[in-house]
Amino acid sequence: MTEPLIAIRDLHYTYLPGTPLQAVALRGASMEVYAGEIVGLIGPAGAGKSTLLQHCNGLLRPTEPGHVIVDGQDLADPTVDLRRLRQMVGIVFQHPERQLFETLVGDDIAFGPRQLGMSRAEIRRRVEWAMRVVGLDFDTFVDRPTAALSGGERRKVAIAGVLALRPRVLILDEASAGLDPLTREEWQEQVRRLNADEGMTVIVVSSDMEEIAALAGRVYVMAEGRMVDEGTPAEVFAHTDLLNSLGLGQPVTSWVLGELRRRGYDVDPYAIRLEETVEELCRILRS
Amino acid sequence: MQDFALLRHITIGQYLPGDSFVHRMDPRAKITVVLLLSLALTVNTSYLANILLLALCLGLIRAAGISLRYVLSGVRPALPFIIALSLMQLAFYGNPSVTSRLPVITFLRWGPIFITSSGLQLVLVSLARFVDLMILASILTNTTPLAHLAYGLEDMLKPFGRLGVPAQEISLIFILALRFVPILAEQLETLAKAQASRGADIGAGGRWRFWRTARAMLVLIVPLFLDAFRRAEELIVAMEARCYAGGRGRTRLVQLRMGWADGIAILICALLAVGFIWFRKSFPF
Repeated sequence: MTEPLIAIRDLHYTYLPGTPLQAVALRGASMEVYAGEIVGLIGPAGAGKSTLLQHCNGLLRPTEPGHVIVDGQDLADPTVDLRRLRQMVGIVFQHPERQLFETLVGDDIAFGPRQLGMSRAEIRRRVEWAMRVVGLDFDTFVDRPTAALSGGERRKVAIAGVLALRPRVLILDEASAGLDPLTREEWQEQVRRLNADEGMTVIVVSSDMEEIAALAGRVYVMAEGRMVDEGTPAEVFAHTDLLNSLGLGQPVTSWVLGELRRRGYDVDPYAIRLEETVEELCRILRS
Repeated sequence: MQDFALLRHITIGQYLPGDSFVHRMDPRAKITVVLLLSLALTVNTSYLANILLLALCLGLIRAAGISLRYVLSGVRPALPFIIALSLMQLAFYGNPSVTSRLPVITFLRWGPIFITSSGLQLVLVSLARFVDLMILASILTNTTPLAHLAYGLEDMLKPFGRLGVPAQEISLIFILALRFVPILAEQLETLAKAQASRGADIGAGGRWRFWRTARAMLVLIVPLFLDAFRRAEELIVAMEARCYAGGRGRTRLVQLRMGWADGIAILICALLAVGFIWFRKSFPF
């Protein structure tokens, strides 16, 4: 079996330890992500999802028992090259459009590559590539002031800014929250392409179960600082009771299939992709 | 090692729930006490008076049940500046202007550098005062919920209403300003993480490398300001939507009540403050 690209083992983390405000965020969380997959991470607010993922590029460092191993390197080691690590693992946070600071779109996207000291030609190539991936036309947008963009365009610029580093692992921490349905679909298509064409490993955190079902090949469910479930989306979303007890809900397809089974129809509860569900429905309608 | 959580960690203004005597005191009494003691602090320059006042402040911390380490951890980010200022004061400010009864000894005089015992005293006393003021501000804000603090302030400003002082508005501005501190601090932390994720050098300069740190801060300051404006605009809309129309005729959820213990605390502190101010020139050293 191949080594996982990111392995988190029994990780504990406490915010502001030793102060009156200390808060335990992780209580022995473990997770493995293999190169080339899309992994979904779901869980109620305060479950520790962001805390866990911020360990993956060294924004938080393991201070208590537990290991974070990225590409064979244990991040507890204080000599880890954070620059290299952050180039390898890119994180897009919630409301990424709020992090723009340059006047022009092109400059903002070029920030990362410039920090890495790349040549002008290379920077230009990367900016062009990143803009194409997020669906911004290079010639139209590169010299636009960031202040003149719509919210959706600003978000695309911010995501392009992370992509321009060409990370091997892309972590999307609620990055699609608040997108309208059409943009969301476009966005999911882009993520899928990044994964398929560029071989980028993706970790998606979302409170939108449809998105998780549409994108992820494997899903982790987190609650109170540890993993409580893991499996393919079909498996995880079939565990209705667990999801309900966490207040998470299911994708509509999963719910429909579960409800049909409960009423005595013989459908495959794992057929949660929209086309598969439609097939199942057609089958029982015909019979 | 860089620690982004520290950006959010601001000790002044952070209410820590508790049940000490200081927690239960009326906010107006607390504000009065802090004002009186701050006044006593700022006029005393002798070693003895400052030692006594420092001891008093430490006693207050104990009474409030807050940990001293927690209060002092708020000083840490400002430490390089404090040290730099102290060194400059020590090196260039040898003028024996400090009213001390000790004889002035000149340690070194070389070009612009002029180090005397009175300059040293000024530095040490300033440091003690800084710590004292930190402690007083922390005690006030760590033991009082923000709303109570604002109500107390409003009550204390009310008598000036006849002179045209808008007491309610001032206390509203105060409460908003303080309320925004943790929000902006949290936003700063998020921004720092986001920018670090795309290659910014945040925290890499180290605490002592000001220039690199300042340049790295630029990628935080610009979005932080934009965000602050956005939040301010949202707040305006929210207040308008709830028909906010100024302080006239507003009632409160919390009714403040002064007890006899509050009176005694004010009395003791007033006596102490008057004593310290009256006898400020009589301390032997």
